[in-house]
Amino acid sequence: MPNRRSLIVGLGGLAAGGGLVLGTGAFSTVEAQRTVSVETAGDADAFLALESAREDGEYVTEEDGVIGINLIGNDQGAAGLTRQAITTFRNLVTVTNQGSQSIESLSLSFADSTEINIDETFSFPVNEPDSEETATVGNGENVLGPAVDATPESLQPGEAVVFGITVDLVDGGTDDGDLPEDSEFNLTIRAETDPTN
Amino acid sequence: MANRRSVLIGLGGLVAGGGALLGTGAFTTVEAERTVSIETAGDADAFLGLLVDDDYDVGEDGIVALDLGGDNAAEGDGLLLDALTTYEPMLVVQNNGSQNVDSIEFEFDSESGPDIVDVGDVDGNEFGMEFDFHGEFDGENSDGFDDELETNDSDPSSDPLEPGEAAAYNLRVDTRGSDLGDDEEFDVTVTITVEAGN
Repeated sequence: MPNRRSLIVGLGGLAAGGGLVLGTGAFSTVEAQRTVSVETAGDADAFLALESAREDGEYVTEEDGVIGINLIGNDQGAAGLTRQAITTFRNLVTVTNQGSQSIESLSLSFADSTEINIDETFSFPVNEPDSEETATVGNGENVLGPAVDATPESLQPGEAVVFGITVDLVDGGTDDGDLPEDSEFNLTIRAETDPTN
Repeated sequence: MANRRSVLIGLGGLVAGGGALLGTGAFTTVEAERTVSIETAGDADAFLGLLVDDDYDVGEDGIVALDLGGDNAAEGDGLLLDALTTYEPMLVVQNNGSQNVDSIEFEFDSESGPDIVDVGDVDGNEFGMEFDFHGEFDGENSDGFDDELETNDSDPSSDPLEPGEAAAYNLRVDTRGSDLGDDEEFDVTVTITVEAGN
């Protein structure tokens, strides 16, 4: 029984310390299994919700709840972007904070490419929903940054921002103002809350 | 048994303390990777369709380029000196996007040649160039066109270019008042800015 009492004290210390190494020397490892319920949701229902901002149903696809952006064509018969041109698609995706904390930083980043300069090729027009005021944010930059006038500096629960994509095949792209053969690019959408919350 | 209960409570506290990671809607970082598919197309088939008169098109690989000198399919060896020359029509801009186009603007720039100015304002080392609205029509995608376009005459500055519609432009070039001599060659870059609704 004395041994068991020691064990209790030791674990009490662990809980209070929030993860400090166990102090009493009664044992060196404790392993406890507890259940953590994790569930995924479709993009529209997740804590960080991603939805098409299009009213015309073009350019944003959804499959099994996961969105994708398709700038290859549309119902008008267009087959792609003009080469040696800068094409901007505004209002593609709405990002909504459906969590319970304020989002302090939101970035959109295309993955590096060996064939083109990603930072010169891609940028993002951003705005608040239904707002005409648009700002352009560079690849990987904070959409909610203080220099970005068209968006709030933090995204409160329930608030949303809308982003589009600008493809610059004048200063960016390949040497002849085109895109690499492989037409798929990975876009990472990253949201951070205030770490002190 | 009482002791064992205490153990469970202690661990319960730990989980709650770290609960910012697990709770309802509270997260520190969310990172999602999504696919963006993008392709380019020839000028005629892109979201912004660009077509020019076949006789003057010397572009390659589906990108239009105009030659107003002697190396095109048209007759003649180049522009007249001290003259206003009009090509009717020369360019078609087609809205292959999904929204109305509200404005189409042209900008001319020549790095090596004379300054590009408006038609009628040419003086000295200058060259006049303008695209003038010719008419709006329901175009079909094609590689180039002949100059027999059936148009109505609505101006896109007052009437937006709806998806599928196209606007044709005349090209006017002006050497009146210019001190350009015979056999001079230079390139002009035309920047076309097209704005559609959101």
